[in-house]
Amino acid sequence: MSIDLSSAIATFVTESKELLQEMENGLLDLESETSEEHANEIINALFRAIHTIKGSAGIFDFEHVVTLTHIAETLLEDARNGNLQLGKELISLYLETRDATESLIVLAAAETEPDQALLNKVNNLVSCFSKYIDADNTQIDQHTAAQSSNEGTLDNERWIVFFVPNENVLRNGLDPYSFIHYLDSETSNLVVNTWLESMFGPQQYDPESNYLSFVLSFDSDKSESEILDIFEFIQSEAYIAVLPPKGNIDVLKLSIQKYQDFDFITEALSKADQSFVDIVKLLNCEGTDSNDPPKKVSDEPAAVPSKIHKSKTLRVEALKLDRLIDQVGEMVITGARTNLLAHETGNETLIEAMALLERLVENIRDSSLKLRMVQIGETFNKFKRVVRDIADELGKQVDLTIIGAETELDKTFVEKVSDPLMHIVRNAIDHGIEDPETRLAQGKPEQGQLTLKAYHDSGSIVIEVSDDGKGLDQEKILKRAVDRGLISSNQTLQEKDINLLIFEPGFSTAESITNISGRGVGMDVVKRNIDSLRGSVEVESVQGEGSTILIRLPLTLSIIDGFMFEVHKENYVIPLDTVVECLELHEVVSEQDIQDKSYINLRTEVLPFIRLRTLFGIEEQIDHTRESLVIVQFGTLRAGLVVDSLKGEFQTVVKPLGRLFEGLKCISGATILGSGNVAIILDVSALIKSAISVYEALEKKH
Amino acid sequence: MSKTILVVDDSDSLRQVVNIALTGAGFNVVEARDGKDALTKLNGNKIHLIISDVNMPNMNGIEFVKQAKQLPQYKFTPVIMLTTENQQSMMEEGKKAGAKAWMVKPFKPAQMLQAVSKLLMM
Repeated sequence: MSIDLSSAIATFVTESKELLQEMENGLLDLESETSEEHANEIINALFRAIHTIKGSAGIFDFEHVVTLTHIAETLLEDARNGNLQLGKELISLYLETRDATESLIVLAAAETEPDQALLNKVNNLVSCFSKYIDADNTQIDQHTAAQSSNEGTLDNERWIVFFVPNENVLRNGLDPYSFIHYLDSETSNLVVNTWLESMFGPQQYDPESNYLSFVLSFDSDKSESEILDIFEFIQSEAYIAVLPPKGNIDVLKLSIQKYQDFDFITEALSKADQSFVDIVKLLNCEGTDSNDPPKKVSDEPAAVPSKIHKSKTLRVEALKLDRLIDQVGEMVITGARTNLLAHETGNETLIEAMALLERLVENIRDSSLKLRMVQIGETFNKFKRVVRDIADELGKQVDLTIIGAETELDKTFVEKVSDPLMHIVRNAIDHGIEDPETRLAQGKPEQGQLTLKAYHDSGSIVIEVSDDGKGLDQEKILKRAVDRGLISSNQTLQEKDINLLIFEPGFSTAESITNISGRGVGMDVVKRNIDSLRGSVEVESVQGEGSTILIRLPLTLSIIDGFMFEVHKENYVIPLDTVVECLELHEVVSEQDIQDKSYINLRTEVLPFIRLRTLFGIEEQIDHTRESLVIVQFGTLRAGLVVDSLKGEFQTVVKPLGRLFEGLKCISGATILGSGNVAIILDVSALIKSAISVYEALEKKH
Repeated sequence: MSKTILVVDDSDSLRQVVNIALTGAGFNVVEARDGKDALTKLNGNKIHLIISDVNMPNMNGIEFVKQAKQLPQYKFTPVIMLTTENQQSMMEEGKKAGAKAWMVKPFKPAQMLQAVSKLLMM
């Protein structure tokens, strides 16, 4: 009987991704966890995650996933029973396992075989785990270990030769390579694993000395003495041990001590013969006694409250949600229209009932929009790992602080903002935070601080990435921008604008290109991505003290509280939360200036304004004394908009513009009014910018 | 009337597999994600057979079966426990709690159907 499990496999992929993410968070928390009780709680959760993945993977016959998760689970079981401490090393191992498992699952779900690199990685992880398991077993259960090693024979199928020429072979005119070459011609499928003794510094290196040792494995039907004969001439100058198929374990044990690097030998053996992956177990009992302590002593200061957070969630298809929100949007529009009609009848009870209905519709709108909202914490948590890895790679010490993880934003934003954030974080660590020595020299603490912060601010979400690194070097930025032809050398820029140059395409100030960032792609992509979300980027930086990058995003894309006004008998809407105040134009500008002036003095602040009639190219003039001034704010920028008349607050369902209008500046969407008419939604940030640029152009002329 | 089976497991995908297999064989399936959830599902439905995982958050499978067996209408309802090879001792406990059979994860859906029909038809 065959059952179509493809839908279940899809569920499995999502489920395991979630579990693996949980696992990663758990592991990272564990690293800093100090209370034993919480550590146990985390370990239990880790165990359950791995266990669940293994169970399901088995049902789908995802063999590689099962192998890896099985051994990871086994070791974790020891940790759960308190027989093993999860130290930094093991946590790293589990993090790698987490990555490998995810890749394996994705591949398995796509019915693709993993490539050799991944398989090697998996094998490597498996052998690392078995090393720990074994080292662990020796301590818990010495008897079983002893018994199994007493059996004496191994079940290797290939020949193994341990070939350790001494230091003087080359001086004595013997070339170890020629023996290996000869062995190759006499046998088949030779695999050579070379170990370079790296215990010498460059000064001690003697080009005439030999620092190489080998583990050779091959297939052959020769006898043991025939193999030994191959090495006859070098016998006095080298340690040579031959391990025939089903060889003696004592030979193996004796031989591996000749290689001072335990990791090398386990890896070499597992490459040499399939069966040695298990045999690594036996080796560990003997080999790791002295130099490879599996138990890490944990350092545990004060207690911290539980960090495992469980949220009850219900998975809903995104499409269904979109449809719901769309329908709610239609309902809001129809509601507005009905309200209008009700008012026309003048029937008091009807109007009252409509008001109630309106309120309910508003509630439904709010709660259905909330359905799309997710906490940003999950996205932030991903950065714990990123920061840890990048800092490790660059040899820097970085401590990540997360503030406002519970701030909610639209799911679509979360997905789209994650990549830009990644670039910014990488840049901050790579270019911002200095290496420990420099920091100490400058009197800063060795460990750099990176802060991810999210909060709501007047109708938008602000995400801040700040570091206490060296800050932006404005001179360098300017010079580079001129070099790259981004600006001309006689241009004077404000500090704020200089900082923003780093987001220009093709800009990169790092002197050396590193792996992490610095290819000059990236920051411009960041800007583009955020622009596409109707957001904005700001940079604040103090040289020597650090920099902060602020990303400002609108709360949601689909329904907004709007503010409606009229220009030349057409209705226009702007988001209500951008409106600061409304004034009568003639009250703030003198009669004779009203036509030409482009700024006002508003309570001692110079405020540029722009006449929408002029902007829209309407030549017909109206009585200036009847015009109103709407003062709007976006981020830190303010400007005034001159409109014909004000209409007030309006529930706006944002409808995207057709492709024809996509490129238009200052227009961000459209909405349908209760009367069925269309109103254009204006892009406030673009309007403010054009108002400021008009003002600045005029200033220059004067 | 087709019989109803309660599937208790914290893994969405595992429940889905079991659900697909059982529905395909003509059973009604009720799903629960942990012991606590399962107990509430017992009250709202008439369940003929319970398939439950052991290691789950909130309330584990053993505890769930123990409590289920105390409800008069479920005293004789057969229970299949899902375990893994690491939990031999759990099997014993499960038996004590009242499980009729157990299956070792991973299992083939066909295997499970066999066990289910055995327990229900007898």
